[in-house]
Amino acid sequence: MSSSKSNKIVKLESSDNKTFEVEEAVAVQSETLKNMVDDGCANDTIPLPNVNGKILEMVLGWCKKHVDETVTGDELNKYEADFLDLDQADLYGLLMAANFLNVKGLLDRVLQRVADMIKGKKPEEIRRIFNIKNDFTPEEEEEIRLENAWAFD
Amino acid sequence: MKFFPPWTLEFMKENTLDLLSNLPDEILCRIIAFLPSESALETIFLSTRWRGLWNTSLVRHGTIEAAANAISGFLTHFDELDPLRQPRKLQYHFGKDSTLLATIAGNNKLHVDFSSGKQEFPKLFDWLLELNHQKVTHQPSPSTFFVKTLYLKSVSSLTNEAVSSIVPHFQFLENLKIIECNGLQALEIDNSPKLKSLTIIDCLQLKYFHIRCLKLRSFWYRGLFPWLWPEYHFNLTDAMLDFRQGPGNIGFKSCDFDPTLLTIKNAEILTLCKWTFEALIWPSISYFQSNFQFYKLKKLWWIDNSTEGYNSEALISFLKLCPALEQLFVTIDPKSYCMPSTATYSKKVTRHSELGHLKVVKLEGFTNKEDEISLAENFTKLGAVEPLIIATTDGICLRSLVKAPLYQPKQQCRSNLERVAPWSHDRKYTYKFVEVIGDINEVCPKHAHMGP
Repeated sequence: MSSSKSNKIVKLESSDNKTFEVEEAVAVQSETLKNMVDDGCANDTIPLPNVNGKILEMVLGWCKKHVDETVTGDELNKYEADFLDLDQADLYGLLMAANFLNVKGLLDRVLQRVADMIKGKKPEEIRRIFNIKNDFTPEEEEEIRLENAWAFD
Repeated sequence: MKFFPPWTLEFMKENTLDLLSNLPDEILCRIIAFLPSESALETIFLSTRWRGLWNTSLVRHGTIEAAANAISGFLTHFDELDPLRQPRKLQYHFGKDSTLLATIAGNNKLHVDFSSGKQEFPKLFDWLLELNHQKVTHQPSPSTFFVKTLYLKSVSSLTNEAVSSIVPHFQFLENLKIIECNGLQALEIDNSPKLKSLTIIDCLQLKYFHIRCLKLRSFWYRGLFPWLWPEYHFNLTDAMLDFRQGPGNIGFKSCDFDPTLLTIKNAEILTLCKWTFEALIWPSISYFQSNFQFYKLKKLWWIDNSTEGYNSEALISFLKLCPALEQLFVTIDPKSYCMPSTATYSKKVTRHSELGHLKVVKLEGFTNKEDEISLAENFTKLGAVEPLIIATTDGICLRSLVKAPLYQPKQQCRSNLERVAPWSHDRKYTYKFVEVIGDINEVCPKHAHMGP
């Protein structure tokens, strides 16, 4: 009765009503989807209301690439590096999607990418890059500085 | 997420939005986990949202005797690789209304602060701090967080025993800092084979300090000069002896200081007060002048007080003992202890080397400009190469010493910033200070012992 896994198709619908069909082997790169498949909930189209079409396409592209046995290690590395060359809005969308879908490796890569944008920079510069508003009073800033001076020694 | 073309208002609005801070706490904490510890804590300055991530405290209540266990437990649960997973702060309430605040930071640091809560007039106490864990009889806690640097602040007569019971568990302790412990009058630190650096700051009743350490390399002390006894010899590379508040005991003799003098003999970085040199060092070494040198000393911070007419003899005599000196910082602190100088510096010294390596001199706090120039001129003669000489009175405006040829037509001093040194007939130039524009830290390095 059970068809072999490699033939089964999983249907996904993004928040903006785009449908994607992928092989089960690709879909189960996502732990969340894997659990659904294992629980037998994956027979109809699975709605993903918190992932839009553009992001979902990216995630599925990642999953496909990682399942493809013809891809070499080097090609994969290059793919991953290029993959993350995104603007901030897309990057965070990807982060939320990778978190929700629990895709092995992808979430860590995106977290690392964001961390790399923060690493080694002074707070003023970080605020500028990410548009973070400094809502401290000068007194508060001084208080934090004094309180934590020892930790930076 | 809708896509807006770049020429629309929505696009501009979206692109000035702080999207990062809108991510859920859990994700921000995971991003921080990917940062190296130096960068991680800096995110606390970004905004109140980010500060909130760092400021969860674990709150516990108990007796002071149980504090050691509470701290152990707190340390065991801390995950260095994911520093926001567990609170990095422990607030432990004990006694009537006393609190200790224990905070963990990257690079294996633990800060334990007893200063919140009522501080009554501190009861005087003696403290034996045994760092040697081999003497610990009860089983050590299975702490997975290895404390390498420990700050102990405001420990008092009520809390020192509890602290003494937990410190030996830190088997990897390398750096110990004891800060503002009121009432502490006698401190004895027993050997830890790993302790490399010891700092004692502003323990204002401390009069007796007995150290039994072998491997100490760095010793920073600020406060009254105590009766200091290093029982075993160690060689310091870095010594700050900020005794500008004067001696805490009367009747000290310079020979009492000899064991300490031997520990600083090979120092590369040193902070010393003039009175300490005059009263404690010079009498001992004046016999051995030709043989006693601070031959590794590269960076010196000299703390002086100002009396009428600056007398540079002590400083110049000291400099003659420092052949390798590269950087000299002289601070005039009018509140610094001063004793009537009975030292005479015999001019018949001695084999001393030129200060061939002196590159930078910084003078701070001179109020009398003539004294400043005349001291600065001394430095130009000490070595083959004239060092960069910077002066400042307020720490912000910098002046640099320059040579000016004497052929210039006599000019009025244009401002208070320029004073011309008295010149002698056979010199073709004179010295003066001119203002320097620039970041103070770029123009002139800072001595390691000076605070931010």
